[in-house]
Amino acid sequence: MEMMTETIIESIIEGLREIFPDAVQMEISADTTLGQMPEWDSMAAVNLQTYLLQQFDVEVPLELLSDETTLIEIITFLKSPVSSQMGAAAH
Amino acid sequence: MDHLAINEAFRDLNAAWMHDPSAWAQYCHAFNIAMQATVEEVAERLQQKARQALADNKGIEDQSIMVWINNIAWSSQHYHQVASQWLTDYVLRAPGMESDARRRALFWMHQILEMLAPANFFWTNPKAVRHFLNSKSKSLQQGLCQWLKDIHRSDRLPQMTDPTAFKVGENLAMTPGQVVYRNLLMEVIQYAPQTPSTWQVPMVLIQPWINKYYIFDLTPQNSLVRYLVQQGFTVFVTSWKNPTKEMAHCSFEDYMLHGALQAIVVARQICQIPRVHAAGYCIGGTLLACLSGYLAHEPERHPIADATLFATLIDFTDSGDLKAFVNHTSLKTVEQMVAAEGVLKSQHLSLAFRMLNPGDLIWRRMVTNYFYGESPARSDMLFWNSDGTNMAGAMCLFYLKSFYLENRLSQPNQLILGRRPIDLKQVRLPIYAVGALKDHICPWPATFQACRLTSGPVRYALANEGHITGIVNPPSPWSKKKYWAGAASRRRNPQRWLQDRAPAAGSWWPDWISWLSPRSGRKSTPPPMGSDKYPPLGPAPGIYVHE
Repeated sequence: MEMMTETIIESIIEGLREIFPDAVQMEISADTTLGQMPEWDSMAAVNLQTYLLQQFDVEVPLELLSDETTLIEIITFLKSPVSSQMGAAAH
Repeated sequence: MDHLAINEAFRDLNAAWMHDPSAWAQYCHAFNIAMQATVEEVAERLQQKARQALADNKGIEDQSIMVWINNIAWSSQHYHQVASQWLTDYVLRAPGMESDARRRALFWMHQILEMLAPANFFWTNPKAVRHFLNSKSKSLQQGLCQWLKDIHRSDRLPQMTDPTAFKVGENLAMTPGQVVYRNLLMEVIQYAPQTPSTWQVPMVLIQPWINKYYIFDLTPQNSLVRYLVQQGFTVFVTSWKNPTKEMAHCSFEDYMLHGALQAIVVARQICQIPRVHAAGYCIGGTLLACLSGYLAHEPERHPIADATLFATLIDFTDSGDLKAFVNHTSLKTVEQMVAAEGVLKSQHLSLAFRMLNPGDLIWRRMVTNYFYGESPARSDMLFWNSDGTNMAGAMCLFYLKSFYLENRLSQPNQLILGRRPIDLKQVRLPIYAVGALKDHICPWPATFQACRLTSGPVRYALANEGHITGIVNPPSPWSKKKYWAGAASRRRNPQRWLQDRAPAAGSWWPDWISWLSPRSGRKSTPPPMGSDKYPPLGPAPGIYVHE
């Protein structure tokens, strides 16, 4: 079932706030890049990948989760046809 | 006893401030002012929230609990952030502190601050409370079950990854190959060709023996071995034995002569070629640099055509956060452990590495596993990260002392291996060195020193990632990664080198292939799997990887 972009972005923001508790005062929007999150690094990327897998049942490639990636790019991936294949591959 | 010199670090910090009591008093006063401002700001913000809640007519019982929890969490995070900033500055501004002492104090201060993050406590973590209420306490019950499992494991740390999600040889380390050599220290795996013809010069990968070899053969999409084989290279990999008490005497020299050098001898013999490409990762790269220095004594018989150093330190002057652990006090502790057990157990190394990134690798795991009751992540890299190995006693002590404490490899003829003094200036091989911008273990400016310390042509590539993802960096249509690459021979200043470069999009792996290919001879029929002298002993991934 296709999710609304706003629902997806709210869910991603919730995940980012969990992974980065230091981002408490930060405004996070669709244009925020992952590199703007405090202490963003490769392990944080793995944490975000896991969170996205749990929430959306899609294994987002780690290559996509870079410091210049915006939330809207993650959403674009999640809504793309290839993401359903990545969901199947994750099982 | 202060096994890791933690007290010493804070003693040094306080002693530094006591040299200038008036600066200390002034700085403490600044903290009072910052805290007072925060108290007022928090009070104002909470009042605003309360007014908003009343206006929105929110007042249902469960929600009111969550409003209260959210407010507590928000305030705590705010205070924690202000205090963290102040305490970090307290270390950074301590007058006249020697840089290693400051780094140690900063490291341990960071550990404390990460531990005290409000999200690590149940009542100041709204998600933990919400899960508890929504699941009717099942989240904490599941968390308790996970905790009981964890404390019975040797490292007693929150599990990072689902141990049932991966099996080496089944969905990791799957590239087809054969073990073609085995001694007491390692197996050598030769991978089967996947192209009709292969380059004449094979690649020998020297793995770090702190974890298992399959960091280069994770899932197929993340496998460097598979990538190299598909680019037409014959690939050999060392798979080190997980040391037991009986291997206490194994030395760094053994790893060099009976490990790396022997793997090269095997590859040369099977491929019937005088020289091979050699690549080493982390401590495997340090070993390869030492071996190149050792072999420089007889250049006419040198069996290495060129060397690739992945995230490798050869100058340990600025050797990253691990240096916070390595000092004369902690070395004595390691000596005692090694005397008792013959090896440095993998759980000690695992804890040390996890403490380099405690937020992600310890505390977030604790919260997710125990408070939220969620299953650990399914990640090939984290699975590999959790599959640690022991370190042979003699090798470990030599490595910590000669490299981290005395930095002998960077000084000509100060390191003696195989009765030969090692002088890296005599190393004239072409070198491809790779650093990772966010590497805490081998900081990239330190890895860049390979350009200055060796005498051959050096190409340096800098990945915009960490110690693992910077190296396990497969090309992908989705890649948002970038890297910088270019000639760097005898360059001394890494920052200036970086300023001169424009970033390239994607993975550095294709750049490395472009560098290797012209050095690889011609393409011809692939060599056989093994030879009469080194016959196949069994399929990859072999047996040592399971120990």
